[in-house]
Amino acid sequence: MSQCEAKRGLFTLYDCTKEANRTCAECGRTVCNEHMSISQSTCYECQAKSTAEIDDPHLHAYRLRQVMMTKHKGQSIHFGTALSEYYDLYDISSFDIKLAKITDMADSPDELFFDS
Amino acid sequence: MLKDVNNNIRHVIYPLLEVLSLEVGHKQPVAMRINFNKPLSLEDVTEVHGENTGGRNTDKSSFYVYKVLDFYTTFLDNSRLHINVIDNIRKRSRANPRGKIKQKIKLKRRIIISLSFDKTLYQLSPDYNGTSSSIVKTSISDNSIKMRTMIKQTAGDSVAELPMVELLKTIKSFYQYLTIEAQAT
Repeated sequence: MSQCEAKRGLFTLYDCTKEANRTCAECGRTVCNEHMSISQSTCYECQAKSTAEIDDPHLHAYRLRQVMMTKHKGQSIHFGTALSEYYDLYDISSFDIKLAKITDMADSPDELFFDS
Repeated sequence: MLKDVNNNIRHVIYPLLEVLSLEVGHKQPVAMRINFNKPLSLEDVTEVHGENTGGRNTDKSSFYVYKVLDFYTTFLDNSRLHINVIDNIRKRSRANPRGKIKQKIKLKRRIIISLSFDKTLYQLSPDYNGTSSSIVKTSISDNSIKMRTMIKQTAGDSVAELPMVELLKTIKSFYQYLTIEAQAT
C-alpha cells in the first residue's frame, strides 16, 4: 500500500505518514482512515471544500483549516515532499524537511507539563 | 443530580481540541486545567472595598480573579503552546434608600497566548524589527524563540465565550514573523 496523500497540520502542513487504504471518490487520492470518514466516500479535505452540510465534528477542524490556509493573513509552511496541485489554493511555502528530522514525537517535555 | 457543563467547554474547549488535533502529534499529550467552579465564588475574591457597615454608605465593590483555563501542548514542529485565560471580575452592589439592592458585574478577560519555537528550525524573519506588532512580545533564548501576546475580551457577564477563531488566527500570525533556513522546494 502507498502512503496517505492527505496532509496533517493546521498552522503548518506535513505529510501524513500512515498507510493509505481507501480512495477518495472526489479527488482520486489514496488516503488513510484518519483522513476519510468510514461513512463517507470522499476525504475530509474534499468535504471541507464543499458547502454540503455533513454532521461530523472532525470535519469542522478541516473546514477551519481550509479557511485559515486560504483566507487568513500570513503564509503557512509545508514540511515534506510533493505538495500536489490539490493544495494550489493554499497560501503556503514548501520546504523539503522531513518531520522525523525536526521532531521526536515520543520525546515530550514532561517537566513542563502540569503535575496532575 | 445531573449538571450542565459550562458553555465554554461545549462550544470552545471541545472544538479547540478537535481542531488542534490536526497540529498535535498522535502521541503528544495535552495538559489542561479548567476551572469548573462557578464564577464569583468566595475563593476567587481578591479585594473588597467599601464593606457595608450599615447607614447610608452601602456601596460595595468586590474584585475576583477567576482562572478559567490553563492549556499546554506541543505541536508537530516542536513548538510549545501555552494558553492562559484569566477573568478579572468586578461586582458592585448598592442599596437604594428603600433597601433594594442593585448590582453590576463587569468582566475583563485576558487570554495570554505564548508559543515557543524550536530555534534549530526557525529564525526570526529579517523583516521583523521587534516593533512590527506592538502586541507581540518576542524573547530569544539559546534554543527557542518565544512569542507572546494577549487578547482582551470585555463582556457584561462572566459566561462570555472564548473567541476560538481569533485565538487560532493569533497563533497563526506568529508564524509570519519567522523564516526557515532550509532551501524552499
